[in-house]
Amino acid sequence: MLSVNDLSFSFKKNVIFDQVSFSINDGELVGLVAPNGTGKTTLLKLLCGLLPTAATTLTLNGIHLYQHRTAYLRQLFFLENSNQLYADLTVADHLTYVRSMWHSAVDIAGVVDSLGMAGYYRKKIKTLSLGMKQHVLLAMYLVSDAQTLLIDEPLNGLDPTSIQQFERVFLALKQQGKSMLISSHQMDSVGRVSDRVFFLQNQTIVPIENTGQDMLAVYNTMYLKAGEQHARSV
Amino acid sequence: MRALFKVTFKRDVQSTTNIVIFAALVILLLGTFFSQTGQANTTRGDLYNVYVTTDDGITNEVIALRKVKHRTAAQTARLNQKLTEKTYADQIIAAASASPAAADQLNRALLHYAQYALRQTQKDPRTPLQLIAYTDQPLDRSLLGRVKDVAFYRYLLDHHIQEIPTAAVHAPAINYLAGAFLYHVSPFLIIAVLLVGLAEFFTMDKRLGTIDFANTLPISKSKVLLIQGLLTCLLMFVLFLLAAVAVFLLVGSQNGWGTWTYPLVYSLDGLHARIMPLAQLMGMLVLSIFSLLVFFTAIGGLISLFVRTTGTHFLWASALLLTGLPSVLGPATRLMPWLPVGYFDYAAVILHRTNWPTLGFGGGVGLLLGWSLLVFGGTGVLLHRRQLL
Ligand SMILES: Nc1ncnc2c1ncn2[C@@H]1O[C@H](COP(=O)(O)OP(=O)(O)OP(=O)(O)O)[C@@H](O)[C@H]1O
Ligand SMILES: [Mg+2]
Repeated sequence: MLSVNDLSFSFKKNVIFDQVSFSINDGELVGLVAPNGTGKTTLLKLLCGLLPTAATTLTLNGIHLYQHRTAYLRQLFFLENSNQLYADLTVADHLTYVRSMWHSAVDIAGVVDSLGMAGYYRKKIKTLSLGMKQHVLLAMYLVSDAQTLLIDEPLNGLDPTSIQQFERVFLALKQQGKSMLISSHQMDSVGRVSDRVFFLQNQTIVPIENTGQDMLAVYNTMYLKAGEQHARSV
Repeated sequence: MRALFKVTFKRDVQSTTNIVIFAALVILLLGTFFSQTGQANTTRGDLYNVYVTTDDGITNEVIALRKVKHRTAAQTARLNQKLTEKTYADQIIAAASASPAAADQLNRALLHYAQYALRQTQKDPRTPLQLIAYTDQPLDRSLLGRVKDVAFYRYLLDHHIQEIPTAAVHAPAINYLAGAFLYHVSPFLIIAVLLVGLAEFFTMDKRLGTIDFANTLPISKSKVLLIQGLLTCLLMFVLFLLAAVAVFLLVGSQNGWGTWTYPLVYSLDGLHARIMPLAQLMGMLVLSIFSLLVFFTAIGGLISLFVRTTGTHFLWASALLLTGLPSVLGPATRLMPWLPVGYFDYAAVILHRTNWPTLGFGGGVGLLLGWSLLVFGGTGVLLHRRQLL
């Protein structure tokens, strides 16, 4: 379980989060939704210690980030986007690297097969398309076998088949008891896979239970432009 | 750890930086070689001219003294001395013009003259001797200079080695490399090139934006930095060795190889002369470069925590390097031998030609490695506190 207690963060004078608290349970998939530039990526980076938080803010499965950083990091996996892959290394290099650094026992060949990546397993990252790189990223999450997965816009650049494939993987991971926080702009997809959705608004998180409602409608009411709101109230 | 090592190694080895560093080192070291291409090999002739100039100098003085009608006792003594010098110089010229060249004969003649000069200088240090003035070499009129000459020519004679002057054209590979490192290419230039490589590798992740991946690895960040440092240092060292070997092979294939036992003469105490064969010199050079690399790697790791670009990294590291320039080094203090800056000019340290106090060659290597540990330890403490690279 990931517990966040009293999280505040700002870039200089630009306040992104103001005293936010929440937790994510084992086997729970939480969607993270907000317009561009609100703070989704910033939140994910805060949760894995890439940006500074107060000493007592973050606890993952009972481990405090500031007390046992290595143990904390071993419980989670986060790689912001495919630009962070090593261009000159192969897919195989990345997967064996993650497997060994996270002390995981996951069978790499199985993951590669299940994601249909056998065709480019031996290729260098710089020769892959965006969608292929998204597959590599997801494969790294799977191979890490970390308990908590923080995923930033995994559906970017995916074709409809791959989107459905990724959604199946997310649901399977949920079955395995992983805690997941996945940011996305695809509201339909968010509606299909998440148990709860965190909407970022006014430097805080508005959690909404997923009861099968139309997430796009929720989104629209949440982020109505000031002008539109005014028009409606007239 | 092994996986991290493997991945870092694979990334570093594939970097084009390696080719740039290798090429820069080779070009620096080949400067003299290129400037001499197409030039005739005039080494022997030049040396002969140097002897003749010496002989002429003596002859002129003899003629001038003979013209004096009523010589004082001092002038008579001076004339006698010059006549003795002339017999030695004539022997040298006779040996040098022998064909085929007879190395032993020439060395013996040079040794005899050096021994004579030493005896005269020991009797009276102000004796105005006509010394052999080699091109590109400062004329040392001190007693130590005479002691060194004797040691040098005795060694050449004992080992049957033909003299190869500093200014030799188309010097054989071994002498060429030694000359490049000691006289022609400043140690500061060589180190600066290596600093470019260090700056490039230490800022690679920040520049490419891949640093976050390293920062989320479930492993202590000191280990990540240590592995990056070890590999970078090793890579630069290998590039240096490869560059030296490439230059050696290229020069050797054109000019011949030379001999590893060729002597360099130096003094530890300012009184006695010691001989260092070029093989030993090369070993010491390699060890110097290695310890300097380790030191600057430790410094580079520390700098990498504070800067994001290759340019600023290089600027900071080279600013430190420049403090080791003899002209920048402050007045010698009692602390001086304990500071790394006194050891950047490895050529001066190896030949004991520093104007500042040092712990000597071995002490210097130990000191640089000790400081490296200290700097790395400090970086480790810092990393432990901030937890991010
Ligand atoms: N390194 C930084 N320095 C200063 N401000 C930053 C930095 N990174 C992000 N910001 C600011 O923080 C805010 C949130 O950025 P963030 O990247 O978290 O948005 P996001 O919700 O992920 O957007 P997107 O949907 O476009 O990915 C933005 O206003 C951005 O300008
Ligand atoms: Mg983002």
